[in-house]
Amino acid sequence: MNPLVTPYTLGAIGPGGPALLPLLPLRLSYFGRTLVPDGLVDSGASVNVLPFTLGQQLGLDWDKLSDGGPLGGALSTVSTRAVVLTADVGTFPRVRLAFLWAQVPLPRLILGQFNFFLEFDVSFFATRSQFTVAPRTP
Amino acid sequence: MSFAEVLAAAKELTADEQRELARELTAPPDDIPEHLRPFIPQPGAEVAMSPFLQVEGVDWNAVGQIADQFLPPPGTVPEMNWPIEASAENIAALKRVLAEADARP
Repeated sequence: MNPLVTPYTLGAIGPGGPALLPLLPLRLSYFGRTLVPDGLVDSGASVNVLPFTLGQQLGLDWDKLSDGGPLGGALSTVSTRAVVLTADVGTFPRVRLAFLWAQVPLPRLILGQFNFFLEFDVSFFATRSQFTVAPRTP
Repeated sequence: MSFAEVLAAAKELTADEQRELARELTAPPDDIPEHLRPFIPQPGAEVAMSPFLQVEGVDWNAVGQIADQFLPPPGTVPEMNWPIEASAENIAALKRVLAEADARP
């Protein structure tokens, strides 16, 4: 299966100024509700993180999901819930992605090592301002 | 001067001049020179609508080199920036919900 080639996207201005980001459009579903956000493919993130507002739009109920524990690193002290969403990337077979739903209005959906990078093989080509995503090799 | 011209010119700039350009581009929005403002997307804006991406012939390599200068130096990453570090508790919680999802028909 050919990898999905995606150009880097110019992100909005943040504290560090504008930046080119590997943003991947994907379809996330949870019990009939669907969103099509762009996720930051972040090899430096240990886990997938779902911003609070996106979880609300998917109809997630904070009180009915299991505790995911507080995040570490830059998001320490942020409470989370653990949730599994179905994800469609391009025309690849549907996968399940596990997210920590963070009780904080993060600017982006984050696709991290667990388990986005376990489901997909990702290559970054910064010199060409593009990255590729393909289903993991069985 | 169009942004494409800015980028093309940037390749010819000295290191000091490139830093000056980076300073201009990373200045607070109100301080960005008038001729560059149309090319800077606003926070929350649909990036695809940015004229920046609609300029033909953009040398993305040059953009990347400039963008590198926007990154904050080590130790100055804002509190809400990356990386996201997970604890064993986080990973265990995610593995548990995945196992539960896999067990469902």
